[in-house]
Amino acid sequence: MPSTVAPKDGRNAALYAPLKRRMLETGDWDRIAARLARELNESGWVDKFKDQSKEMARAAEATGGVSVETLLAELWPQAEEEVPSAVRHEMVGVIRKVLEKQIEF
Amino acid sequence: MAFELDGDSPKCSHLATLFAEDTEREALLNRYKNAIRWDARREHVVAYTFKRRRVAPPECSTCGVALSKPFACLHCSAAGCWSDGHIKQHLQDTGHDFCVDVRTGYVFCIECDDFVYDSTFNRLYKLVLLAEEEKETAFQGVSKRSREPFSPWLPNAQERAALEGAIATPCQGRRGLLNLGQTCFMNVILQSFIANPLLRNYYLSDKHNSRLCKLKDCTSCEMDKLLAEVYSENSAPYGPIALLAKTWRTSSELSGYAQQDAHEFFITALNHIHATSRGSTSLQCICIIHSTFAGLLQSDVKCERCGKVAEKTDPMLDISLELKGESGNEQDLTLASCLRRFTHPEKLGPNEYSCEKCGKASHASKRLSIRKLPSVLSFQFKRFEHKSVDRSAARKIEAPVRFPSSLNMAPFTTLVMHKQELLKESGTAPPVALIPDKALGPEALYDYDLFAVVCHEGQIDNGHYTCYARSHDEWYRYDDDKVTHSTLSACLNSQAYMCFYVKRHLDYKPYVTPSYVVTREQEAVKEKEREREKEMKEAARQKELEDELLAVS
Repeated sequence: MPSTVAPKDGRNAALYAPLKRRMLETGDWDRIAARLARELNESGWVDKFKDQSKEMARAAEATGGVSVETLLAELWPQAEEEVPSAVRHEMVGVIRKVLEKQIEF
Repeated sequence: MAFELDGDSPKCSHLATLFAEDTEREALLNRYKNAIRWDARREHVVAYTFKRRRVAPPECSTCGVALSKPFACLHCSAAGCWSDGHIKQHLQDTGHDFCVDVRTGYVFCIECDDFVYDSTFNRLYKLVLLAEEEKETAFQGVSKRSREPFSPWLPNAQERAALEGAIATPCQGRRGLLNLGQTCFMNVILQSFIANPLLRNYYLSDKHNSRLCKLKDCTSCEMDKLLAEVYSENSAPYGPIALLAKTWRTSSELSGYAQQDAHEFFITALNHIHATSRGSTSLQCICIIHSTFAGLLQSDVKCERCGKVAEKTDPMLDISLELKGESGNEQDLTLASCLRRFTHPEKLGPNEYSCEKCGKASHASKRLSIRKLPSVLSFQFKRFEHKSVDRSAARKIEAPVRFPSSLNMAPFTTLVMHKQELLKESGTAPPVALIPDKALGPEALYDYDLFAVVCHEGQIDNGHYTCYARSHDEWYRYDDDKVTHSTLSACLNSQAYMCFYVKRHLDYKPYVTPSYVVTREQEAVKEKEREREKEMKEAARQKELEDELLAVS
């Protein structure tokens, strides 16, 4: 997975590691991730990329195969873009609610 | 546990080298097991953490950041982040070869610079997860003992001897079915039966031997013969003539060469097989059909005036889902949205219900939920609207419905729905977790996987049925006698009429000897008794003869 996950600069960078730790400790991280997985499954996103990566790997077999990282690198941008906006919006809302409990703004 | 063929798959050569050394192999697999088990336990605990309790997450050995997707080295106790490359760096620095993604069980080899597959890991992963899940299944506890632990089948001496003498039949397990005159409606349902793991296993393990059965017009025998034909060396299309003839004889409404409804045939076939199968009873039937397809639907009718809820359960073999909403909206239909509508409270008119408690005809609302989930869940999308008895005046709803390859049924079950209502009423915010109560989990018990889809193209009276069915992880399209290799997305983009899902982890009644084993043992005892009696009679007769001969001489 490309390292686009954590902001490396700005005022939020220092907060990232302790926040992540806190969310993992309380279980919020896992619950949010599970919710996201459910929403993505219902929207058909999971099945779409499951099929696409499988068929890409199958097509590449003739030419020696393709590594998992290559597949990820190729599909990542499209996958990120095709997250339905409704799901994205909802998840941002969920995350915001959880963060509001943890941080003093 | 599915039988895995690891003869042909190209193993990572580095893994092969390591596995050749017994102590090294065991050490690696031990670390693998521990890593998976650790994460599975953590997941279960974390899913239900209370507000004050915290569970320490693992840290990256390199940068110390808490890991949300830990990778564990399989040679030492290091762990690391993937996205920042720390675990890979560790492998390069130490000369260790393998690490594992603890949540998915996927193993990475630094020499191959790729994830590598081996059936050993796959099997071990499933066993560890299942063992953890068993510990978490609170509601299946029988007299303080937890759920019965799974143990993989290992042949005993007798079975090994039998296997050694057995001849393996090379077969695909896939055969087209000939169209015998507008019989595509029957063919698609038969293909769904063939692809049904529970039905297939029942007949292939000789539970209904058509050569020994003495019933007349036995449809169960036809299923036995059908599966024997499919799992044979012959891969040419097969014509299920006898089955068709039996269907005509036993259900006159399905006879004739006109196009029939596949769902009607499905229900008819289930009833016929049930009637001719062992264990068949009218109440609490344990025949193969009911063990596979039967669930319980609960309807809760709540009186708005006094709040009393009347519960009633009805058995069901499948779920039929409406496609048209109140507003006549047929857009953006998904299986989940249809199920939500199915389980949504429905207002009953003022004169439709009279409450037992307050005795008056009152406003009431009715809510459906699934009380008991079957092993195989069958869905029908009500595409054909019959305006009147005359079939030709019906309309077909063409709107596509999106359905997933894996489905979690927890939100539609009675127990979960009731718990969520309770939480809402008590003012507790419903948790983000799917299952609101640890006692109702784990989530995995509610997971289903798609294995067959029946599609219909064309008009009501002038259409054609085809189906998609899954064989392990590959999808095939069945168009009567034509079988073609297909893809998951082709299947999911088709216009589904019926979908079949199978429960990922079956629950068995714990610590109970299966009834067929009990019957078999009883039969064996009776047989021994009969033999003994026969012998005694023979011995007595011999003695009589001898006595007579002696008396004469």
